[in-house]
Amino acid sequence: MIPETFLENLLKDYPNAPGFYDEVFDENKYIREHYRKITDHLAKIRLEDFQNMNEYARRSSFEQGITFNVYSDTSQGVERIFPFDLLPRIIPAKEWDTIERGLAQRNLALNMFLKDIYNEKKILKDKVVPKELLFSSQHYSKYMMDFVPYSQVYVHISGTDLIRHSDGEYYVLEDNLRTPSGISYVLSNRISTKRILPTLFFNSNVQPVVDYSESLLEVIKSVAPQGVDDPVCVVLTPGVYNSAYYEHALLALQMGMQLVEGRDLYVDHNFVYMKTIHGPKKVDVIYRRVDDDYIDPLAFRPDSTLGVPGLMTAYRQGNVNLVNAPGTGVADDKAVYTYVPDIIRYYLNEEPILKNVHTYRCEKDNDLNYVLEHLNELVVKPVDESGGYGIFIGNKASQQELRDFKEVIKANRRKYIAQPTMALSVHATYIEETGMFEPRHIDLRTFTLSGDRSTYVCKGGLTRVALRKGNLIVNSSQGGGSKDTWVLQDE
Amino acid sequence: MVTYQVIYEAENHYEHEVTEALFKFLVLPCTDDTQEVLEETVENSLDLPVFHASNVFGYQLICIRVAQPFQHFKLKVSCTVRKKTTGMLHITEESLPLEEELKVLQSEDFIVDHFLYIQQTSLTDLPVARIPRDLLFQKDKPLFDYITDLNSRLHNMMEYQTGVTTFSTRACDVLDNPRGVCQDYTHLMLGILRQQQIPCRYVSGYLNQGQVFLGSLQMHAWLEVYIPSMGWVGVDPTNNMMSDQHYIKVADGADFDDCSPLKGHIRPTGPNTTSHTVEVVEQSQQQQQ
Repeated sequence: MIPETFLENLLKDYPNAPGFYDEVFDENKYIREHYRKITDHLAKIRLEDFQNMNEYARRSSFEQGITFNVYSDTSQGVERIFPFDLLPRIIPAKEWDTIERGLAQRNLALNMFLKDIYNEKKILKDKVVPKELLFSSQHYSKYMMDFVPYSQVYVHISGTDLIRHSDGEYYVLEDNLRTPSGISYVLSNRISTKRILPTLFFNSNVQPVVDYSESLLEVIKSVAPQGVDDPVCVVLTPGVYNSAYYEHALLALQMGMQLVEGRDLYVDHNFVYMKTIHGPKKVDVIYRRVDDDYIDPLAFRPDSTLGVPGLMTAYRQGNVNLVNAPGTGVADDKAVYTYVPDIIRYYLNEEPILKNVHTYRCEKDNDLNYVLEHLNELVVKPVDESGGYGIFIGNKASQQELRDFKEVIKANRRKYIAQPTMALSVHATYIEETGMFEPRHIDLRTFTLSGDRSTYVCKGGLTRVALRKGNLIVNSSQGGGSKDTWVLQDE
Repeated sequence: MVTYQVIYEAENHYEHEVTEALFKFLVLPCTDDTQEVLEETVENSLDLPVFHASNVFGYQLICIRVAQPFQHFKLKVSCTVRKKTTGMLHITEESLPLEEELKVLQSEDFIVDHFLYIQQTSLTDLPVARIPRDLLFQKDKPLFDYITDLNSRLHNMMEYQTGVTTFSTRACDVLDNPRGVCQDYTHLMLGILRQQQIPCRYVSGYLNQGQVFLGSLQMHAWLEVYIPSMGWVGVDPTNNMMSDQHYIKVADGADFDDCSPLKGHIRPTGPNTTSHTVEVVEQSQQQQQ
């Protein structure tokens, strides 16, 4: 007879991942304090039962329709599930408090930045952010010039990606200020955990995420055009072929909004109307999940069939609001990212609470020396080009390329900045093939909502897991998985 | 003062039946320091109500939504415009000393505020190496003199010819083959000035048809250059003129795309043809006759 295996054995056999911060185990392979309750609970579960639970979680995702399409896939249109790992990621109350304050601060500053660069442009005149950087960005939209949307909010929904580096600190990896997605996984992962591990969940004092939809509804209503008391709000989706269609449908359903496509709306006399069986109905706020380029064929791509002709004119006339505003992509650019700490100091006169990945500016002597000495560990980017052009990755370059690039930097010091490559933390994840818990790299997509004088940060977010061993790319379209993220309540 | 009667007509024909459309016409003369629209009537063949909207630069669009099947569409805009006849033209003596002029043009605040008119667009972009040296600002005389000089050089260099270029012809194409119509002259001059960080913008409008001007039978295009002590100064390389009381402005923007007289979206999409006609009559002359 084969002796029964319990998860306790799996946790004992957990292999280390040297050089990376492990969320569950400390350097001495002891389980961290805030994970003890859950590991104690799991230790007593038989492996066979756990495998069944895992399979159940997988099936329930599929049956709920929580799937996504991989655009790069040759078998287009195949629905895949975003694999959900039962072992949750846990963030203690105190750690979360800092993250939450940091996210609120960062997003407030980015909203002020957007208002400024589309109107007075003071930050450019004061040379805090180089003008060339913005003027060369394809996302710096002419259609947003000299215009301020209601409540002065540009980014109502922001998805900030955080990682934990080997030094144990959280860093912002990137901002997503256009139409960030992923919240539906957060909501459905939570439903799965509650179903599969109910006792553990209800004994663990986990902060809720279920209030996200309600908060989003409040934010959307709060930014309606002036004088509209009971705004009609809709969710605009590109349609069923979009990879995030499930999310558009889920949020519309939860907020009690109509889910519409471009062809369901039209503009007349500078107002937006929805075609209904009872005749036209005026629309006041559009939560649009259609990219800028496609929202209005008369303003942007003329071949777009996903948008609403005349929408931008109605918007600038103040008769409808768009969530998020067009043109926000200029502020989540990789090159602008390096200036976010300066942007926070400039508008808020505060030190940034959340760290940015450190940036060396080659125009400074000390920074230049560091960059030249450590070029093989760094990623070098030109400051005046957006969209990832001209990036030099040190650890992928040959000796000759390194030598050549040093000369390029020295010849034009102002043009280059450099950043270290970050070591994403790892988290114990159940791997079916080996039947073991193994360390896998994770990040955290957070969600911040900004309305008229209110900010809401979703407590937790989407912990994404790179399922391939050693893979640093944590992204749903690259074959990643996800975990429920538990933010603990203060004891 | 001089008063014009301006009539713009557009006729669209669609090969297949259209069921839904939104049209935006940017054809109405604007009201500014030099001109004023006194009267405006808009008629359309479908007898539908029209509405106005501002474009990104604040110019008035005449818009119309059609939600019924159609294959023809005609729009007629008639308006009376009063134009100032004095104080329109600038002279060299108004220029700041060259040094001060350059200081303004090179200041950070000025560049940030005017970047939209300094930055090349895909229609105006020109490789600096390909611009003949004698067309560049040598900084040996006031900017105003350089502009008038460049205006006549381009006028002499280019050959006015219809049908050889399209709406998507770029300044660099014109430099290779210096023939075309008003928007080609304009894009080329915009490209040369922007290459030197001199702010300038594309202007669309009408010409007095009582004068011997090239391009007066259609909507015309010229440009405005920002000259520090003078503001935006209108220049017309097609006719080697500075814009005066014979020029009726509709709109301005970075290039033709911002000033296109008609933008429309139809469902379902299909082949179509559009023709425009323009009539500009000086009213005082009419009364005298």
